[in-house]
Amino acid sequence: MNTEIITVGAAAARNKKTMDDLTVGLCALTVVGVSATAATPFWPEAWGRAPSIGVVVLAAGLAVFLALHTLYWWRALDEAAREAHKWAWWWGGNLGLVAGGAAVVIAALAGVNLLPAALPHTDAALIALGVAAVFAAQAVGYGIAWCGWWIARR
Amino acid sequence: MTSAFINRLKVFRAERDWTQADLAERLGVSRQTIQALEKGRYDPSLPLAFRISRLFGRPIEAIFIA
Repeated sequence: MNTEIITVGAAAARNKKTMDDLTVGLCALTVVGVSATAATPFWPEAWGRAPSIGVVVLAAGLAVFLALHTLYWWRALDEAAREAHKWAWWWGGNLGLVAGGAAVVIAALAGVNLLPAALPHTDAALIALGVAAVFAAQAVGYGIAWCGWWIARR
Repeated sequence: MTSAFINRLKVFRAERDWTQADLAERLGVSRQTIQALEKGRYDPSLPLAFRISRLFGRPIEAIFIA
């Protein structure tokens, strides 16, 4: 019985140390990203001007860091916390998506000018706005559903 | 939202004079999870039910009553 308690505690401590190590790694990566200013070699001309090696290293490192950080964060959650996130992802995210999408379409059909005056009124800008609006609605739906799950179980 | 089971988690915890936080730490879950379990608003997974059973030294059916 005690062995299991120690195992649970040790696993949580190991998880935290790994996340701390990852954070230190990201800090080191940021230093490399800022200081390595040479252009990235073998960059295809068709893709335009080559970014610096530092920027490429930083972007790739950030992607790996976020994926690993998410993995360890998820592992550190207990089963009820995971259930809350899964429930919020499905119900809150999907209902938010539907509501947000419908709101954008209805507003567009009603002739509402959705783009701020400062932005260029192009098709690309309209698509970007639609994506951002739906993403925001999903995030709001997720947050509401997550809070609701825990409030219902207090 | 309420579970189909009655559970005696709170009774066994009180017998040992543990707080919800104490029990949460021993089971490797959050205090909020213990609260939800005790109120019968969340059913534990089988692995967690076995951990609870081992921790209290009682069979699962003595803790979770249908």
